[in-house]
Amino acid sequence: MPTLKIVNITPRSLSGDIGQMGEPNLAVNPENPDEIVATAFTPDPMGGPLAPIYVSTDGGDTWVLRSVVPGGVPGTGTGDITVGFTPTGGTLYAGILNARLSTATRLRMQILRTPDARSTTPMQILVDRGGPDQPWVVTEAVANGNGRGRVYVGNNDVGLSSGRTASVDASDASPTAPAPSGFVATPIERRSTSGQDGPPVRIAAHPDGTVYAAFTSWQNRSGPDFRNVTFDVVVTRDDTGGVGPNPFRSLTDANGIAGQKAAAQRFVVFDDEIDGQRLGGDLTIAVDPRDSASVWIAWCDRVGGPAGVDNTLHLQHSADRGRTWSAARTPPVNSVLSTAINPALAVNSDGLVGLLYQEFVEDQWRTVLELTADGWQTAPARQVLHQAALRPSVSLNGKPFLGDYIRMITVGRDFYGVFAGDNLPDNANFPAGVMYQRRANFVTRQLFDVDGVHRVPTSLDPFFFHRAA
Amino acid sequence: MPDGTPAATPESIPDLVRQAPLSFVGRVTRLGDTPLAAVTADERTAVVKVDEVLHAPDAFRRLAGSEVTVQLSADLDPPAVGDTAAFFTTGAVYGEGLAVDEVGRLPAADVQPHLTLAATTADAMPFSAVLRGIRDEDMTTHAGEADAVVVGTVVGLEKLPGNEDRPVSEHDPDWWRAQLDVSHVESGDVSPGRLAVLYPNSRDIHWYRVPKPSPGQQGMWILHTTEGAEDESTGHALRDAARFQLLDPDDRQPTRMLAVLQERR
Repeated sequence: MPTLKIVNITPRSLSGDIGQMGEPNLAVNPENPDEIVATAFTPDPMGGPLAPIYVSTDGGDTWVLRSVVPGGVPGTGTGDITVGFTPTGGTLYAGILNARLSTATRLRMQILRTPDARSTTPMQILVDRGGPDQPWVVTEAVANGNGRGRVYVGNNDVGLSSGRTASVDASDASPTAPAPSGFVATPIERRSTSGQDGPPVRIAAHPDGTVYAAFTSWQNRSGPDFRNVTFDVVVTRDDTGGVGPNPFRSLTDANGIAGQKAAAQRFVVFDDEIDGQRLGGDLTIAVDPRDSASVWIAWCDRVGGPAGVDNTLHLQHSADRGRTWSAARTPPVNSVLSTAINPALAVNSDGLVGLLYQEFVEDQWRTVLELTADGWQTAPARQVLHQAALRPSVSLNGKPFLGDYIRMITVGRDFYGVFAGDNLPDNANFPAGVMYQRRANFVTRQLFDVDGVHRVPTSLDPFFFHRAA
Repeated sequence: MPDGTPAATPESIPDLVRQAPLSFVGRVTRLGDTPLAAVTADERTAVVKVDEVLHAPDAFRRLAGSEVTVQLSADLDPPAVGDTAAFFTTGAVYGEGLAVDEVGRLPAADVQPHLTLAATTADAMPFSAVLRGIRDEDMTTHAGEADAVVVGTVVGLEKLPGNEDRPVSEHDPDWWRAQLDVSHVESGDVSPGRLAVLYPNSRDIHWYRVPKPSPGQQGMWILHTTEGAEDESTGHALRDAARFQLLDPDDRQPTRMLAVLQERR
């Protein structure tokens, strides 16, 4: 019988915290799934220059913060951050935007590494480059490379003057190789754009060496501030682990151009908002670990066009390695998700497909996990993990910000995920239950400081979940 | 009650406070031990029961009564069990409890005047006055490094238009221009009257802490020469839009800070 565990990962010693810890990410050590690392927009609790990671060594039941990430600033920690464990050896990689070094005109991406996630030693900087946005780390034990697995960091390198900005930095995994540790940057956009691609570049890797990289190819910008964006959803593929001089050219369209359009001429108002949450960068891709030809992709766009107010989630499947795509999760079996953000897909070793997303319904943000064994042909198992209005008493950032992404991954048959949400301790907000480490009273629905006496205002916390098969 | 007096020459309290984000008076209850599973104890690991927090970030002001694991400084003689001292620390591990690294230590008697004084003031913590002094010192340094410091009122706000030829990201500054009516020039090549100042209006994680001028807002403005020939996100020659910009969270101060600045200069 599957079990579901949800944990507020703010440690007890930070019970007095009132920060806005949005945009979480997650890594699970595949060799030891009890070892888990989470990240968020979390500053060093004492204002130091290193941002923390959340570390659990007991399967997510308890967590500690260790400040090991360079580029932290008070109030926010580092900028964007994502993480991944190598398939063997327990090496942790991170991709960040260094908040101290990024300027008004140029973001600064760094790729980091530590051989031990439990260490208090600052992570080593392997790659340090101006321009890229939203680094996204994926690791996989692919058939190619040095046998320790491969590390991929999708990013939108707006520093490229070509306007073809969707890129992937890739390397063989190594716990000790000196910087840059073999990382090579590859632009994966082959078509002309309106000057750039969209922020998310997402990757799905399969052990047989198949690696998919998806991005939103911006084809036109118009309207106020040129933020009305028409884009194609493009999937590229490499069949040898991204190893070699010209990676991500294995999948071509009818014209022989690398990259297949899963969808064309979609629309979004970039940076528009739903209840204060930023829109325009929702994309996820996942491959079936049993069959590298079977790949899923989801994104959000505005069906209503420039006058619309929606952010509609679309899901498609390809059974032929990305050559053709068909809509999945369609009505009437499935409800239309017209106010959704942050889709995250993952497929477990049984072929069970998971879709995690956040949707704004009845003035609340709901984080929902759907699981399907038949590709949404019948109604999926649907579980609301969290539901709450986003109304923290203390807002340090104007509107509390859930973030531009959440994450879900699988290890074997198990699903692991992380999301951000309002931390009001109210059982009604957690239909599947929850565990808090920070001091909270679910009867009086109050948070308390570390002394257990003084009340603490609600804020935004990261929440971990584990669905064990 | 014995004091955990260090052998090394004690530094001044302001120096220690500047190095250490957390200080407290506490009594050593155990040595070579810790209740935290995430910490490996050695002979320099102490468990200290906090009697009084001297200064701390907001989330740690209420540590009194709790046990903290302190990794004692290798530069100081270790205290004995039962000793009481003022510990100056940085954070190390935040879990079910708190572990910190010691950067300095003073005899408890040395901080007693601050404890006594705090009991008679509205200060939140015994070292609140020390923190104010450090903050004033930092503000003075920051102002000294700026290109202009003025006192003025916000009389106009306008958004700079975008440019389709330039890439955008969710981290764009979203430059706006504020018009200040400058009533006093403390430093810089500026005249009283109208002065245009750029500021990032974005609430993105990279920019939300930078001041967002509001209509009629008064203040002391710490200004920096506009960076870059051209901004990638707008394509505008930003220097043409305004000579100065706000970039730092401390770039707007209450007008009363002018007196502090003048006194410290």
